[in-house]
Amino acid sequence: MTLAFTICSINYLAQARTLGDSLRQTNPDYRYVIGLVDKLSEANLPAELVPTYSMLEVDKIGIPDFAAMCDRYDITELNTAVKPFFIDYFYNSYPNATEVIYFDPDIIVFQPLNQLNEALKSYSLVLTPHTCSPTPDWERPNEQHHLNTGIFNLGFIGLRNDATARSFVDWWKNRLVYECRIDLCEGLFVDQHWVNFAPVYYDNVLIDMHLGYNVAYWNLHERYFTQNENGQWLVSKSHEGTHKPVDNTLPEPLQFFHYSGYNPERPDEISKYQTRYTFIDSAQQKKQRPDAKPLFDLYRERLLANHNDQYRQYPCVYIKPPVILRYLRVRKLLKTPFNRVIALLESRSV
Amino acid sequence: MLLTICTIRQLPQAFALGDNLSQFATAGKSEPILIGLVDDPNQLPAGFVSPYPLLPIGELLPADQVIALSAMYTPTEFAAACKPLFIAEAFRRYPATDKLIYADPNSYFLGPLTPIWDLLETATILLTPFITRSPTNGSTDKAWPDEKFFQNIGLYSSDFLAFRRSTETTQLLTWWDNRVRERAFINFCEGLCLDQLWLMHVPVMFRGVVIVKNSGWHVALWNLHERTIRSQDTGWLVSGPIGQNEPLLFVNFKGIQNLDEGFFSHQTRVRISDRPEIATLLTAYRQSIVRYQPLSFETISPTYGQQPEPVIVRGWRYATIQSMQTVTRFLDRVYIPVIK
Repeated sequence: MTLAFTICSINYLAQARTLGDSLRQTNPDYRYVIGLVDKLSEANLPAELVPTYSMLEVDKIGIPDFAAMCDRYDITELNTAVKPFFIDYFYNSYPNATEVIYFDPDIIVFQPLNQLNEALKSYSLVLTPHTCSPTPDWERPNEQHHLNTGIFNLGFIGLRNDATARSFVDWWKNRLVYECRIDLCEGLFVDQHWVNFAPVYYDNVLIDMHLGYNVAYWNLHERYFTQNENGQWLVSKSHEGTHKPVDNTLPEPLQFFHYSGYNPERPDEISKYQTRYTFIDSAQQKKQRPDAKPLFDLYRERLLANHNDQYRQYPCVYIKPPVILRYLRVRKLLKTPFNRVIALLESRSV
Repeated sequence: MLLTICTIRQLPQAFALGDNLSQFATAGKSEPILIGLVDDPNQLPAGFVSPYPLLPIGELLPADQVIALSAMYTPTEFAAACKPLFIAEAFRRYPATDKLIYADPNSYFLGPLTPIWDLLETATILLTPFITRSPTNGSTDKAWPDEKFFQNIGLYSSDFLAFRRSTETTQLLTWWDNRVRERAFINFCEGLCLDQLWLMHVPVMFRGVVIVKNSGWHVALWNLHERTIRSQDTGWLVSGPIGQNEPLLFVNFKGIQNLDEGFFSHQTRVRISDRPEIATLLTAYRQSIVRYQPLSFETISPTYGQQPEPVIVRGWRYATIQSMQTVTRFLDRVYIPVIK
């Protein structure tokens, strides 16, 4: 049995349901679970907002000293830090789950994932890179951002239930107990940057360059969309790109699309995290991607039908007020003598 | 074909590497050896004749570009920014050779290069990771470097690379050259670290890339903690996470030969004094350089790379800086209640 899961808080349940609907339609043999970083007892959802999919609350999976983890992390860090703990829980609680696949809630699946299922018969891990070819300019995001935040996008990971994958998950869990922070200067970017180590520490890792996997704003420059006569979405490489394909130039069927940073209330914006493209720009200052617009429109419709407006009202119980550092000038003043000594010692003049 | 890149100061090491490599090149076949000079050849003593072909950066780039690069970079960054150019030029200069090894001048080979050439029969690009297993021993492990640091500098070392002439190699070199000309700074916060951090994209963007984890390859200061080395009648053998008793192919003495070189001056995972086998290998390595020592190049400062290199601080100075940084970090983060 293949177990597919996502992780979110109640405010993202419209996305998680939309992902579940797409899986039910395209991969009905998968068992789908929503990992919930929230408490249903406190939200007290009305009947029409209770999803038909199984939900598993994060405080029920036995994360050691979970309360301390909640104290340490903000909501983004916490939501990502629990990922390998959920995987580990599934390994232990569903022994017949021979494969575990994680999808971010803002993904939808378009096809039966036959190639992925086949890959997971032999590979311990399947990872998808943000981009398989050089980024065409220094707009956001570009290659340099990926160097700081991770080569692979951790909105998706496929794992077999084997010794290698378990060992990887144990290592990942240990890293994320204290170091699932965003601190680029220290080489940290939540759970994602750590996974750069996977192909170095382990041999049986597939880096899947399939054009139809984890399609998102970060790889639009190498993926263009068309629909065939059956309504199936196809992805092809750009022919204007800097890195011409040498092998396979045939369009691939779109497997799963990741609508990261998309807001259905702003249907003309591809993602709040990117600056490279726009759907249509009458001023023509940005590169236009009208080919992607219908994919976003269909997602928007599904989200709205799944009560996105209502779910968004629910605050997460694990959310903390943001830490605001006050007295910045006082702090700077207090640090001055120390910084002077450091500079003096580094200049070797003492 | 074998390529190294160095400044005039490092030439004795580069010459020793040349001797070392010619000794182990494929039997009966001499491999071209090329030294890329990231320095001004006018600094060389009059009448000096190099035992190996020297290719100064001035022959690859117009003078104004050399000056511009030199003004923005440190000598280390400057050398990194020139690496893809030199590799591409080496392929151009030796059209009859299809395989190229780039090795840092601190490299020391202990056996024939056959395993490298053999892998390049099918692979187009070879990379070696700094470490091949998680170095962390439980949650109390405070040794340095930790894994985070490798994320800052890149997981693959740019001190050893091997390429087969191919479209992929050409594409990689064009892309890499374009990136390092403007972005070979060491700036961890910005996701930059020499030519090296860019290599993180290579296994994903190019085909035929092989990550060689064999414990006998690229033994160095940063991976000694995961490898044991012993001498046998047949030669040196290495055991590590990937392979037991693998023949020792090459050592990189960066940070061992010159303690201030490289990123690991403050590493606490190994004590070289506890590893007599490294001392033996280092003695042999130093002997290979001795014959070039009379050249007294060590006093010639690099001409290119006008920005100052970061100073390596040791002993009480380093300890004091560490404690002071703990204090400033605390002052940055400590909660101060609002006084009304």
